[in-house]
Amino acid sequence: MKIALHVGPTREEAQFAAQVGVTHAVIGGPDSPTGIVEYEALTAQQALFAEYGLEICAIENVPNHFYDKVMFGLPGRDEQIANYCTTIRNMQRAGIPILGYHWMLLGGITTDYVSGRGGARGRRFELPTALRHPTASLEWRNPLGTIHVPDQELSADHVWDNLTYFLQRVVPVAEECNVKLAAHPDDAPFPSHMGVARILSSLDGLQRAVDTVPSPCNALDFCQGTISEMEGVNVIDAIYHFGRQNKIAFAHFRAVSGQMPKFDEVFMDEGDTDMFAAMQAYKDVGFDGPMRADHTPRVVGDNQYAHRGFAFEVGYMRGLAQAVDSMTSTA
Amino acid sequence: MNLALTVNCWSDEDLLFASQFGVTHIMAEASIPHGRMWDRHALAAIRNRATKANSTFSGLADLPQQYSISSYLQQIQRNEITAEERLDGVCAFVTSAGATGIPMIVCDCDIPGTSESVVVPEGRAGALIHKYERPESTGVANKTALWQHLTRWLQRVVPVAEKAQVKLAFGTRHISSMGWLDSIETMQHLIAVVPSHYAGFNFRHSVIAQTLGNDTFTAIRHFNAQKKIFMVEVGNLRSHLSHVVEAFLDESISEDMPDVADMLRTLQVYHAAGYEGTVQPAPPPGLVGDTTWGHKGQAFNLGYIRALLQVVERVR
Repeated sequence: MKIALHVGPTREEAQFAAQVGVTHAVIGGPDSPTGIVEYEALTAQQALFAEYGLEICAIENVPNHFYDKVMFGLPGRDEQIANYCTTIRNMQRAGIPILGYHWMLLGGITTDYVSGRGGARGRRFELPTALRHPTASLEWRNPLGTIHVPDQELSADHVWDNLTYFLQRVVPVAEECNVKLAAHPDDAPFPSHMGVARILSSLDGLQRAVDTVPSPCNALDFCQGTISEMEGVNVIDAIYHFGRQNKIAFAHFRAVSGQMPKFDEVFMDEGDTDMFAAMQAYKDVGFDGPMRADHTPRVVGDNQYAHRGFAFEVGYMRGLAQAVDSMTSTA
Repeated sequence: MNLALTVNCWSDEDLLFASQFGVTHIMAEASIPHGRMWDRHALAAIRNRATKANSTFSGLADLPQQYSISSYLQQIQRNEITAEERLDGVCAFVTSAGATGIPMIVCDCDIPGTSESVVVPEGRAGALIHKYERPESTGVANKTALWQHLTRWLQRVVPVAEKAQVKLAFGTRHISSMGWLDSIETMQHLIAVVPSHYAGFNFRHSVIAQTLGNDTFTAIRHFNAQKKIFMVEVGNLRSHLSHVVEAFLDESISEDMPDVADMLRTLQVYHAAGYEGTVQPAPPPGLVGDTTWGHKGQAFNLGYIRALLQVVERVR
């Protein structure tokens, strides 16, 4: 199992990741005024990480302003799509095989931070609160630091049309470059906010996304945390469902307590999901992509990178992964 | 099996840290703030702080330096003290511990001067690790005298501990020299000097594995059957010809004794043997930007052990 971590472009972060046994790094797409993730920016980070034995295996997402016009179906989207394709080609040159993307037009949605185990600070989502305070629940910021609030409602059909337009133009390039696109589900997973549809907020939505343009390069960023938040969903079954289709390009490993309409993010060892069974499921479906520790509750005395929290999560993942490998090999 | 950790109970941050990472049982470092004395007030304060952090207080992680077995052996060898003077102090301390509800005290029995180590950046990705010289294989000098002194210690202190209802968990921090707690027989001999339910072991797995090798699992079954394993500390050491180095818990690689270095296999053995006590991590390698105590490294260890405990206890 390729245990991965989101690693920023600093020596301390790279060394920390390597010291806790991480071999694969997921990075944010480096920003640039061109609207393209530049090849040189990728190779510079690769060189830094290589000093610590880290391989960049995926870009989590490009900056939102690289493709916001595409999501909203605005003039200028074709230029953004062309830039996106250039990004994919640069990734091919750099040998980075996975490009994640979000299709959350209003970004992630959170309503509170609450005290969890021992007072660790974890994210909470509660739908009634989000509906009462819609703007305050938005997490996404564009580079200017303002909230992108739409001036009109956008139906599910409209948002699907925009995603289809995007995939029809980008997936062929991804195939040509052997780079997998990986769609992240909408977090929190509910179908509409402020009149703007959230189309990847259900298993059906995720299935439709990968079926829209059938291709081995049209896949999912299987955020286990978000999917386990979906009301009534058994995330272990979902791993098998999408894994057997070979549609999990990379995975986020995270635990939550509760499901829509209310859930809390918690440490991996205390959520509702049987994390050993989840790790076993990934192995059973032959998943060989990177699996990264996703979020962590905030603990006392931690640094800006949340290294204490992530050290715990990575240690936990290492233990589970070794256990699954060990028990499978002796079965 | 319960997740435990040795912390400085005078530190609010450390107690909170332990609680946040799911630690349910606290062992207290044998330290007190400058200016305080080891009296019943200090012991009671330690116990109260640990239990207020929503944890079960398991005991003291060592005897204070002035009461330790190592300093006792060293000072007797140098004729600096008489045995009875020192043992009077130890007995008084154990009595105070019992009176303040301290359930257990770890009593390390290292031979003075045998644990030379340096800290080097030779761990994974440059992590700081301890590197120990292997103890001399020619045997312990003055072994007979040392055993006599330890026997006297046991004869005085174990009955007091029994009366005070304080368990004494014996072990060594470092790999034992030949003839000194380096076999199941010598370990059995130690607890047989004064047979008592209050005399048992702190099983430091890394040290025992290096000392007993492939007999480690036999030792676990042997002593747990007698209910003599009072606590378990999990660490990882890798051996080389002339020295031994620390490793991360997940670096479970040893060609010489693959099973013993496999942490999952090890915890499965404890579980199958019926062990129901605490499991805690040994001090971790030093990570970049970490504190002296090693908060990041401790967090990693806790996550790793927590995963294995959940796996072991879910599989029947």
